[in-house]
Amino acid sequence: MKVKPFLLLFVGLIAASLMATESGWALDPAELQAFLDVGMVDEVKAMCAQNAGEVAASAQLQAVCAKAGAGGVSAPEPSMPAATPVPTPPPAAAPETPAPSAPSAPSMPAASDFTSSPPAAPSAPAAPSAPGFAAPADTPGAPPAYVPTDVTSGVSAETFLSLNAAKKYQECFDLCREKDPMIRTHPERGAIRKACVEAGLKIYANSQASNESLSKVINDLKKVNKDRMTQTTEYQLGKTISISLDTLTSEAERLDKEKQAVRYMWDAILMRHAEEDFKEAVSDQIILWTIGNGMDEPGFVNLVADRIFKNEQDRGRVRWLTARLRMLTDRFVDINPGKGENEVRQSNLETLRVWMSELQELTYFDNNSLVGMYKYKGNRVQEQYTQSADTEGKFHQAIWFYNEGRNRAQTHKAKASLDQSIAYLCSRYRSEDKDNLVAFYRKGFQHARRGLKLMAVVNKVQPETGKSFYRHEENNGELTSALQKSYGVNLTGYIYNLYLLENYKGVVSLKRQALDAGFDWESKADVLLLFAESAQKMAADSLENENNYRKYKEMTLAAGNRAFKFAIRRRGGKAPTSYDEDFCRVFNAYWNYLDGFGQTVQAKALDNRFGAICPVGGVPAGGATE
Amino acid sequence: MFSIRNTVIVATLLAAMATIGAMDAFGQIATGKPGAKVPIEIYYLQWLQNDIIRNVEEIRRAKDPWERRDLVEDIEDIIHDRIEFPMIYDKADPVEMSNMNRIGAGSDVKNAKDANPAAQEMAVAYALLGIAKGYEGFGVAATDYFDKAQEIFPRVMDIEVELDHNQDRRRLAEWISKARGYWGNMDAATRITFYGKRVSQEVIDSLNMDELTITSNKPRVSQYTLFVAKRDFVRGLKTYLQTDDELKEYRPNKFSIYLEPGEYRIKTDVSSVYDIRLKVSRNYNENNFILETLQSGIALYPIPDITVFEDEMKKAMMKARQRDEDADAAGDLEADLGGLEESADINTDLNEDIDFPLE
Repeated sequence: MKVKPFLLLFVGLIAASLMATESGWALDPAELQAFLDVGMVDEVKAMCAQNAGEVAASAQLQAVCAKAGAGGVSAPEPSMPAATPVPTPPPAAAPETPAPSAPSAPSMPAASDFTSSPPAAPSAPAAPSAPGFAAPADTPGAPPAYVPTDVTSGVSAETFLSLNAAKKYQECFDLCREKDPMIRTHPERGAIRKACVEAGLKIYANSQASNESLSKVINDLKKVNKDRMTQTTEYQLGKTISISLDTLTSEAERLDKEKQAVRYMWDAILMRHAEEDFKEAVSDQIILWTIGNGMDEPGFVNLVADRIFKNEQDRGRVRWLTARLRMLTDRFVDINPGKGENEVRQSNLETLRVWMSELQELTYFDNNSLVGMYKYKGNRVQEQYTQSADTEGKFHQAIWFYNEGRNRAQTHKAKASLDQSIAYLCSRYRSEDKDNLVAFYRKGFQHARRGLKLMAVVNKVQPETGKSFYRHEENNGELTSALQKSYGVNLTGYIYNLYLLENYKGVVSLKRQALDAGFDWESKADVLLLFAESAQKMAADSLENENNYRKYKEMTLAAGNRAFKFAIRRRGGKAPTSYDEDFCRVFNAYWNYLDGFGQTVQAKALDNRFGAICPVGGVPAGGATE
Repeated sequence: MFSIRNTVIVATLLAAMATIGAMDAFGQIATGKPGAKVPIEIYYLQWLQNDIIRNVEEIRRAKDPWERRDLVEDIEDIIHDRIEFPMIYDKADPVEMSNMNRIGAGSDVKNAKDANPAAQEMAVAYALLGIAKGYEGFGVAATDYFDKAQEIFPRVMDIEVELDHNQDRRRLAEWISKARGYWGNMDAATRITFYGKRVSQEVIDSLNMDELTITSNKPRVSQYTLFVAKRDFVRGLKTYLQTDDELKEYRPNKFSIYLEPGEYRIKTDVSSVYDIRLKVSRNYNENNFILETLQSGIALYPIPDITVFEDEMKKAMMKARQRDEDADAAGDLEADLGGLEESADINTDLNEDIDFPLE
């Protein structure tokens, strides 16, 4: 399924939450203008609407609000405006060949879904009704009285905000450093530090800064948190620390900082969840923090999964991170998407629910969450592969994740499951390059074959022992069936592309795999006929060599015969009594092979029996009756 | 880091709880993942409990003690940051130490029915920490936490808990008896308790916790035991920590670590000045120390053996009582005989025999 980004939502949320913190303060026309300059029109409108009384009393504010199109300041926006429902995007184009059973991939809402869904804008969720819970830190509370400028220094928060608005991040960051002693006692220090943090993060994101700068940003964020902790800044702090983790040289420091990063982000999610009264329909903010936007904005799950990969050798840390993932999934696995305010929200919630459910199960995969996380990440990436050249990178990335997991898996069942994931993904591969197609169909086929061998052992042993390999393991029958499908689809694609490349020898080398699979799949007749066709060509090329000729002749007739039997088997073991296109196609091919190789008696016998309903050249007179 | 913000939220919870009628403490035995519809503050605690259970689940799966450390510390942090400070210490009356284990004003843990509804959730959290410590190999620590849990909610052991991915539901007592067999064999550590006295926040802040080490003269003491002792010691010291230059809430003045009997040396970054030696006895009643900060370091002193003092006092009191009774009897006799003056002498002798002040 195609996954579309939550990115715009994220930007909106960050901006909105930054403003929301100040929204209880007096509005500053210059500040609003700065927001307008960077295109945050909706947010300004919301602020105007929320502070209608103040706007009405100030001509300057009215002017700015009018620019934002908030003429009707007296009519504030509803706190949770109904988002325009956007239909769930259609599933990715199905493979040309029959696809095996798809993993449970959620329907990820489009970016527009999330942007249209109301973010935690200034007007958004009011203080929760829960008894005992204080007003959310990110929503208007009771901040200290607003003082427009610091009379002692002549520097105001506006100065910093304006620099950021003008994208002069370096200038803003330098000013932050220069004025640091002043900022400590500045009445607007919260807003200033946020601006400093924003500038620092932008600089770091643009790779213009050193790790030293990043640690300064982290310190600033800590100061912001100390001044007035909000879940947004707490989450941001954790995320920023996580960026710095792999640059740390001291292992002890890295482990310590890693814990900090995870805890900051976890605290933000946990407390936001509490502030939302543990409702079944969690906010988009929680969704975003938890699973990211599915594209370039990773969430908490991504961070934890990445840290599990990095700590592969530190089993204790992996266990701690695993427990953390389960804590998270416990909270959201039972949410009720039906309680979403509109279709978009319902879709978002369903995505969260499905992903959390899968994540929880995969923490038990192979009794090793490390392997499970490789599978989880592979699943998320493969959902983004749309069978187009643009997303081919996702295909390779997903294969890499599955392979890494496969290399680490210990149990037969987990190995077979990952073999199936790889085989399924390979069966969806599309490319203009025939060699690539051959390579990946072969890979998929090999993994499916390997998986089936493992499942043969599992199916034999497990009923005897009655023990499961790990919790939430797949049903043996379903996994075997899926592997068989992948086997067939990949083998079909493999043989078909070899045939197109006129590599007939390559095709006939797959004799055992094609003829002795021991199970059927949708396109089996095509595989057998392609095989027979290739063998026939090889026989034609081997007229000089009697042994080879006889070998290829036998292959051709055997494959033709199998195809013919399969055609009957598909019809429940009964021969048709009237014209059937699929059956007649196989019948005609088989008859030709028999006739071509001089097996005239058999050919005649077949003709006597089915010739009437399958005439040479297609539909018999009178048309198809079946 | 535990945020001030979180403290505020959780602390506010308790205030709201006063308005909620006392619920039947045994009516809501919902542990593990919250299920039943319960008041939000209980729900919050149940989620914390679920978090702890997830840690215990992995602790049970771990084979190596080192694999359990992060998980045990996480449980300790959850209890310390989200339960102890906001819900217990912040609410305690600084004058009365016994309030430390009470939860919220007006709670009487002796009578579970009148106890704060959060009591059983908190007690379960402590019991789970006990189980975690048991699996870690510290049986005495485990017992301490079970005792604490029972102090908060006497019938805690009857509460059913699902420790195994919310599938296996048993009474806490069963979990403990099942697990005790596992940790009973490996526990050699005993309790060492430190009482804070004249602790300077400035000194504790200046101590470099990374430099703090605990070493043993016995090679058989495992590195893991020493590491855990160090972490517990640091955590204990930090309970004195004041943040933002102000400390308004009441903090506990004692903490414990667990080590095998023997001699240890605690080294801090200023240990060249203050060489701290610790003699640990098998009897944990003898392992009580006073912790003080001196100039730029810390110092430990053994607490005088109060039990000996108390025993002597008891004997003396019994002796005194016996003499009183004898004197009374003699006085009666004298009175009968008319010899009142001698009885005064008897009393004088009696007082001279007592060589400590009676209070």
